[in-house]
Amino acid sequence: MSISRRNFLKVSVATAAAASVGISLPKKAEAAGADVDKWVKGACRFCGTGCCVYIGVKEGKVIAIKGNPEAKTNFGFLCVKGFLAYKCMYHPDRLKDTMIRQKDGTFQKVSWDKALKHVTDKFKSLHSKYGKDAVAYYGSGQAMTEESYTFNKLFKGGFRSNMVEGNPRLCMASAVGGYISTFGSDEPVGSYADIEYSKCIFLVGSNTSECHPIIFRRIMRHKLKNPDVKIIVCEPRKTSTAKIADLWLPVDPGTDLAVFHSMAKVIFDNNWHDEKFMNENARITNGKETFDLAAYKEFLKDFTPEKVEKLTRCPAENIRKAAEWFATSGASMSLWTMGLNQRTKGVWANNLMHNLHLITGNICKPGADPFSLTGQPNACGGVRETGTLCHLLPGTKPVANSKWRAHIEKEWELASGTIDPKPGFHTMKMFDSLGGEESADKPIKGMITCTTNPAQSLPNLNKYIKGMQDSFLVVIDIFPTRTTQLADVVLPAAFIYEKGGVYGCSERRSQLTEKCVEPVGNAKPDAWIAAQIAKYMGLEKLIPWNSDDQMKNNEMAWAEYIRVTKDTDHTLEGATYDRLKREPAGLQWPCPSTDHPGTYKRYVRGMDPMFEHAGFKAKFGVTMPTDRASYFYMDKKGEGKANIWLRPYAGPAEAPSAEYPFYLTTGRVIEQWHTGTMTMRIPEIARAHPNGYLEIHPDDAKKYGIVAGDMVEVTSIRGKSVLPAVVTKASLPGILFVPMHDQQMDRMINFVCNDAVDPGSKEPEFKIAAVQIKKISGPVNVADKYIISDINSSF
Amino acid sequence: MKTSKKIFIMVFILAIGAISFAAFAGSKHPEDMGSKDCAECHADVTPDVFKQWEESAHGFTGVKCQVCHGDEVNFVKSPENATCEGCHAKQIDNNQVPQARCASCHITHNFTVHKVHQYK
Repeated sequence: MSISRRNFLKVSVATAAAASVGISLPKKAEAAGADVDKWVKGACRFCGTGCCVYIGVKEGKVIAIKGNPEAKTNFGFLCVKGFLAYKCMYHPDRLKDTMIRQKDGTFQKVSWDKALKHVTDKFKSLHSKYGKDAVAYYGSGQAMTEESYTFNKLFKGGFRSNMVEGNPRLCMASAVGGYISTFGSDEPVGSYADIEYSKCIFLVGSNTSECHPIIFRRIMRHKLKNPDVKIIVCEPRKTSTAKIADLWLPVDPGTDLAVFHSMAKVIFDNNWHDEKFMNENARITNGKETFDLAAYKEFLKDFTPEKVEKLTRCPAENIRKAAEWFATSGASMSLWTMGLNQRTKGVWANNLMHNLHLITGNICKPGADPFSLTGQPNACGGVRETGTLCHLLPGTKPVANSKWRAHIEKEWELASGTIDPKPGFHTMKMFDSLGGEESADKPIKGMITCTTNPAQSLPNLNKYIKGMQDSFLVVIDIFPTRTTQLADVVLPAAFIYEKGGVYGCSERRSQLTEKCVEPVGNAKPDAWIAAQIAKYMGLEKLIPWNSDDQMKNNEMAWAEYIRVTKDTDHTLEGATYDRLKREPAGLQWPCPSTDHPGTYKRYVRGMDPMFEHAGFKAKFGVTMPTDRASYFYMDKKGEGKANIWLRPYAGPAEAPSAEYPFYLTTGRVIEQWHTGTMTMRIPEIARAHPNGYLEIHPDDAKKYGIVAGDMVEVTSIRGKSVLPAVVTKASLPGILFVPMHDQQMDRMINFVCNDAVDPGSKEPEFKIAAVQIKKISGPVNVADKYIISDINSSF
Repeated sequence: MKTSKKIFIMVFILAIGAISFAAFAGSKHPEDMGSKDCAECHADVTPDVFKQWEESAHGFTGVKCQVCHGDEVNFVKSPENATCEGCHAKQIDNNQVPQARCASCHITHNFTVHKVHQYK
């Protein structure tokens, strides 16, 4: 340990002082921390930040979690969810037995053998009667990579069905569409490390302080150390994120495309753009033809800040200032999440953010990056990268790509033509197509869900509940949920720290969690369940990792996955299990060899190993000129250029009207995770947010005679919800906000949300609905911390 | 400041720490919390403490009352080092006086030099 003179004096004084009051100082101070038998390295269970943790185990139980100070994501810090996650593991509601629903509607405990036989017999029967696409898989950005890879292989390679989806469709699909349509390849160019190099940070469609609190901590520290760094927040709500902002750009939901175009116009009007960078690295296009800069300027001519202010309610002066800071700071980074993605124009919103970076050259250099923050811990690694979606194969390559299909078939030792070239149904269509055997118009008759709760989390729930109820529904989860209430079979899953595996976070970083303890009761790892289904269906050759040693199973699945994708731009070939076990902070792809340190920034010569990757170049026919410092090598046109998109302005699918005069937007709060099935079972968290509520501006509250605590009915054309009012100036007048975690039926806000999808990404517009409100009663105490405890309770 | 003065101050702080450790062991929340969030009452009954917290790094990053002080059934007036370790493992590891609580020196709710005015 190096120690300065000043510190040395401090330590010396402390030692002397301690001795004087009878305290002896041990060399290591771990004794002062949690009393555990061992600390096991792993990843946090919750958001997409990818915080690296140590899990404290004592007498075979997890009793503590602490941050890993060596982590490159969180530097040891955790939010309340990650810190207290272990508390839900031993909640009495944990599902510990396999269960089959009986004719009387109640569940009966059965053995694993009986449950697996029941499930696979039914799947075989449905396949035989209705075809290979009659059974679907709906997974999660919270499942381990090995689990998603296994289910994907089982369905696409085993059942020959592309009816494979996951909840990342509901949160990140528009970001994927944005990255692929602009740069030709999914996932960010840069890393979190750009935060500390940036001079201007543009937070848009992200309540970072609550939804990615550890990323927010980094931004806060950066601002504190460098007060001249400009922080801009663009949001309909003045959230707690805005506490550190220099500038707030309030916008009506769904109108921010005009703000982004207006910022571009201001940048061009003031010659703040980087024409040299644009000419070398980008083309201006509408997807059909390319244009010159004059045409782009002409396209933008109507987006004056004054006109845009009228459209969006964002002050013209704020747009001008934001454009100036963004373009002239020297290094601007933007970060966004669901506020841009969960939109019917989500891909376009992503494109327009990339545009701002491309026209100002704020990309491919330290501190300058357009960065989409992922919501879930393994949406990137587990679902996007393994291709566990209806249109993809491992390596994030389309199932419709015949060359890649042939490659996967060869790697999986399948006969040529086994994998169906036709994509399956995207999530909303999949659930719309789900129904009972008697429903001729519902082609999907069975579904297996893993680590997700669609009966609460889908938008416009009223439309989709019947399909789940009527179909043969198999649910793999750790607690009773709204979805288990509709299930025919419930399979108890192991928690992350009871099974281990890899999570890949927002910044292309894969981190291994070691198995810490045995699963509770008869719960089993999801990958084991998938492998057993394969075995019971005679597909054990396809999924051979079916032993009772789960870390061994995980390692086999991972080794195959990184071999199959080794020549892609997402290569993790150097991130072997042995290495991931040793690395204190995981590895960022591309990581092509075991001696490669991982990649901080893509597309930059000298930083990105793909410039020298012979296998990749051969496989994808990429040639790279030696005189380009940056090169977008996945450009479909082979010019190494990114696309600056001329996207016309479009508002939300549903705007307020005389009948439905308010915008409703939804989101998370720091303590609660998604549908609250885990976090509401942690007492400290449940107390902080025991129920959903409706945020309303004081002007609107006054107009409707609403005071704090009054019960308010909020209604869209799809459904309604009844919630207590919180009167706050945080939102603009005319905009309501409801957090989405509450499981209590009357307060489940997704009955109200819109299921209209983006035509490109198929992601639904959770974030914007037109609603009306009505005061129902005075205050009622609804702080009931509601959870579904009884597995036999009905929906 | 002279070294002898520093030693005196350190001894004083440690003594306070030792006393507070004894005083806070087995602490119980003085009121029935019902279904209320801590902040619902403490913004009014301990406004200075609440304001200090609100303007601290913990306030900015959403480390609310419950994280350090627990729920009603596991309430502690002064958090144990094992709690601080959740985020400050390195500091715990480097702590030269592990028998003293972190809170003995990091007094009340200021914690660090962060202040809201520094962002304005």
